[in-house]
Amino acid sequence: GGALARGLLSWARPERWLPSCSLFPLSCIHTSTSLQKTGKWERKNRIVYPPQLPGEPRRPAEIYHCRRDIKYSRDKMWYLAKLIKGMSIDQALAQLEFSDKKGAKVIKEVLLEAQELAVRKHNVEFKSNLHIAESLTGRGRYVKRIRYHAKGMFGIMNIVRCHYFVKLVEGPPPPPEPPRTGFDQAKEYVQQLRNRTLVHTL
Amino acid sequence: LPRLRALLQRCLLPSGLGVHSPPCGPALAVQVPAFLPPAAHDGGESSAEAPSLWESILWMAVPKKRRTIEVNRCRRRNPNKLIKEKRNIDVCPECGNLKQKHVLCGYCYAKVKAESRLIKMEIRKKEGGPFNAPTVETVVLYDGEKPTEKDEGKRIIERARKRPSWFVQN
Repeated sequence: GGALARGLLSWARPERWLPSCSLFPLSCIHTSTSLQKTGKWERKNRIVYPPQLPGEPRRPAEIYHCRRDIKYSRDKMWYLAKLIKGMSIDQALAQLEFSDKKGAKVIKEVLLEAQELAVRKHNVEFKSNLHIAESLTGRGRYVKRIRYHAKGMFGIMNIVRCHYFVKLVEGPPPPPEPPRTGFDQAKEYVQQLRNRTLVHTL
Repeated sequence: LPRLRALLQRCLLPSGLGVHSPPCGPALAVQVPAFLPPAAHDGGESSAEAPSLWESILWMAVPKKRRTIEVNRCRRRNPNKLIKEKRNIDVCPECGNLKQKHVLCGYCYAKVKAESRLIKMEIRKKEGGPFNAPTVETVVLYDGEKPTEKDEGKRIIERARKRPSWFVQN
């Protein structure tokens, strides 16, 4: 009797009838903790452009790479990201090698990984012919912990993590823009004055 | 002043030094300091003592307004706080790695350090214990090298490998 009931129950398992989670959405919800969703930055590598027409200039290769949950502060990492923005990859690696910051080692690894990816998967011919178009930091997942003070006092501290994103583009680095002079600002001001019109009139 | 002090106590005591709890009670189960500031002895203290911490808090430097994110950004992104690009990086002529101009090449230094470590291990094996260093010079000979007449009275350390190119003999 018991075996029969067990056999019946095991046969009557409703999940077996529907392999797709149509009727049981609650059981099939994948939260970000259990299944790591591919982030937006990783998905940018998957876009496929239609083939270029014969007359069009060649589209430079773009490689998106990132590292998640680095044990470092995103504000401190930002200074390094700002340093290497717009440099060629060799120059960036040189600067990071002799920087004393903890994040410099991490970013150097990320850049080398990205360079390797570029050569293997993204059809980049020369590994030195890359420059850093974008380099960003983001806030990782923070964890709260108790920090013990004297006299039984306590504080709540955040264990801080960050993400680092980099976009490499094939080609030499773009020339740096000339700084805005006073003359440029004056010209823009005069242009703004000239652009004014009268509204609701003849 | 007692009203100010009561206000101070109400604001500061439950919050404590860095405790993040609502004024109704501590959020986490941690002992609030058992001792109270000398409020119980107000009547007893007739002579005004030096102001304790709870009173001198009124004269401490304290921010008046919250610093906006724009002001914070101006301070954090000021060019003197950004990391400066280094212009003293060159290529080592020996190994081709990068090196700073006024510093030894890291790769070459590590290479020499590894070899020195092995030589020192050989020396330790030969000496056998502490305080056994001989009073004569030491010469390191590699595979297929014989001691010359210049190395007469010196101690000889053998290394079982080919002589590295950077370790010039004599």
